[in-house]
Parts: sequence; structure tokens; C-alpha cells
Amino acid sequence: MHENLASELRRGLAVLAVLGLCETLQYGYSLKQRLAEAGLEVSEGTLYPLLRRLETQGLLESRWEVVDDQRPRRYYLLSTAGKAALAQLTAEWKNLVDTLERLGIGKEVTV
Amino acid sequence: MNAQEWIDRYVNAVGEALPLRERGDVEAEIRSLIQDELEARGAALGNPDEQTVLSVLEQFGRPETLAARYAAPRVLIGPTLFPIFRLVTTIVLLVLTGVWIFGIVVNLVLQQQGITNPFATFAGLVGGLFQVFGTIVFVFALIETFTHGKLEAEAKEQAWNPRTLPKIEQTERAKVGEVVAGIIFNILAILVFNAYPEWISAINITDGQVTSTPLLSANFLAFAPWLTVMWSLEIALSAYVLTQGRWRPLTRLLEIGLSVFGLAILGWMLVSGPLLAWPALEMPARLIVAIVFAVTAVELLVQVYRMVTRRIAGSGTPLQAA
Repeated sequence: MHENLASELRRGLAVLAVLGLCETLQYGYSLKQRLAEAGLEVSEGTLYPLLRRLETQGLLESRWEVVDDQRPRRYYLLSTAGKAALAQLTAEWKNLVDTLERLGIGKEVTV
Repeated sequence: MNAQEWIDRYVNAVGEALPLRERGDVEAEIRSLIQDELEARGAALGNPDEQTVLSVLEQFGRPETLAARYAAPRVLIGPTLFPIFRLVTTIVLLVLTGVWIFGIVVNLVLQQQGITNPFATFAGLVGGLFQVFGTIVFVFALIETFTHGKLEAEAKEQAWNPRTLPKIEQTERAKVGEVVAGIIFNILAILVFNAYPEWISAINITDGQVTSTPLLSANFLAFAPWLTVMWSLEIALSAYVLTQGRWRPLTRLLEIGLSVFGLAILGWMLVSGPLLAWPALEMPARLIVAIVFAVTAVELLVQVYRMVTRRIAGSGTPLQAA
């Protein structure tokens, strides 16, 4: 019923998750798989353009590599600016979780 | 169809919706990402089956949606320029309409001839307005293209001071139907009194023969240019109010000014010579003009009263701290 709100929240969280995963070299599909395995389903139409946006903002660096001597694939890695942004966003995320807890949001509801 | 051809079509469709400078790179990336998905589904490299490809493409979503997410939002006229664009458009189009109406009036007065084809004349105005509108859009789009979002960035960087907030004007929502009806009436009046005054005539049927005699006197028709100027100004004012959607103190003041102008014309008509070509109907005609004069005068008083009371009410609401 509130799928749009949930997907908006997931999109916001995806930025932090992608930056975190890109501390090691990643490519689009590997990121999608890692996120899905961890329970964060992000569509292709959201994830792949996000990588490019983060690169434009200077938070990720990318390079093309030839896979199995057959075809090119683009790999992404966190840049120096991305590392600073990741630290800041992680701290902000923890603050937000604490704030929600103080507000009593997220605790199990008993009727 | 060959499965590879579906991939080519998809990549091409995404590329076409992207700016040229980003196209090649994004196309290569999407092609590579599709290949990753296909490999993960066990499809053989270089020879994937059609159904798997179509399923992957469906998962990637509509090409135009994907392209829109890759590209920075593209606008013809950005939010910083748009208010200036709207103001310029409103002023230019209104001035043009005013000049057009004035030109017609001058033409009618100087050449004393009717409009041969009112529809063609009106179509000419509409065509001209569209042309000017297109030119304004083109100029603003060029400014937007060359400043390339710098205006938005500068606007965001500038420190904002709440003390720059504009004062609230005493406005009143315009009744669209009323304003449009007024415009239509004024256009018809201009056309009839200038181009077709013979339409206002007495029809006589004698022995099956239908004859018509002009009803208005030459004295009355001498007022037509003045009435036309008043109706033209009323059209311009109404058009402006329509674009704003509300009456403001200045437009109400202009409306009052036009009412005074109308009263002056009516008063002058009453004290001048005969209004009709038929002396038998002169008295009823004068009575009608006198009634119109009285109604306009009462309306004028009401307008002035409302304006003054609104001013007083408006000035009596000082800002208070919560």
C-alpha cells in the first residue's frame, strides 16, 4: 500500500549502502547482488544511474576493464572524497537511528 | 528476431533519449550491465536466448525512464528564469494586444471604414501573438542553455534574508466568467458600433416588403470613437486581470478610472444633440441612457466604497509576535 514511500526510503539508503560496498572494487551487477542478498532490493533503473551520479559528484571513481579477454566491464571504487562522505553519512545514519529510538519509533507496537 | 538485436534496440533507445556528450559512455555501460545480468542467468556469451534477453530488458525498465535517470534534468526554462519569463511574456503580449486594438481604432476613425473581415483580423492577431511568444521562449531557452544551470546554483548560494519578503497586497480573486463576458461584450460593441452601425436599425414590413432604417443619429455615432477607446481600455484591463487571476488595488483603481471615463461620455451624450435618427423614439432613448448613467454612477460609488473599506481593514492588521 505504501510501496512508493518504502521505495523512496530504500533509494535514500542505497546511497549509503553503495558507498559502503565500494570500499572494495565493485561493478554494477555485483553491487545489485550484494544489496539483494543483504535484503535491500534496488531496481536496475535506480542502482545503475546512481553509480554514475555518485561518480559525477566525485564520490566514486570508475575504470573499464576487459573481463575474460572478451568484453569490457566498468568497475567502481570509493574515491578520497567518497571516503569522507561515507564517514559523514554513516555518522548521520547512526544519529537518525538514535533519534528514531528516542522518539519511540521502530519499537514493537503492542495492542 | 535475433536476441542480440533486442539488446541493440534497447541500448539505442536509451541512447537516443540522452544528451550527445553522455550517449556513448552510457550506452557502453548499459550494454555491459545487460551482459552481466545475462551471464548471471546462465546465458551463453554472444548467443543468449531471446526470452531471457526480453526478461532482462523488462527488468531494466522503459528506455526513456532509464535515460531520464542517467541524464541531469533538462529544462527549456529553469525555475530561476521562469518568473522573469512569465512577467516579460505577460507584458509583451498585453502591450501587443493593446497596440493592435489601438491600431484598429485609429484605422476606423481616420478612414471611416468598417473591418472588412473581422475573423481574418483576429486570426492575424492570434498568429502574431504566437510568433512573439515563440520568440520569447526561444530567447529564454538560449539564455538557459548558455548559463547552463549557473543561475540556479548562484541563487542557491546567495544568502536569503526574510526581511526581503514582499508585502501582502489586498487582492481579490477575479471571477473568470464575468471578466471573459465583459471582454466578449466589449469586442462585439467595438465591431458593431464601428464596422456595422447599420445593424442597429428599425425594421419595417409594408406589404410583405422588409425595409430597415438606421436608428442611431449622426450625433450618436460621433461618440463611437470615444466609446471604442473606453471599450479597448476595458479589454486590455480585463485581459491583464485574467492573466493575474485576481484584482489588485491598482487594477481596481484603473477600473474606477474607466467608469469615470464612461460616465463622462454618457453625460456628454445626454447634453449633446439627438441620439436617434427617429425623433419619436428620442425620449425613451434618452431615458435609457440616463438609467445607464445612474447605474454606472451607483456602481462607481460601490467600487470606491469597497476600495476604501478594504484599505482601512488592510491597514488595521498589524503584525503581532506569537
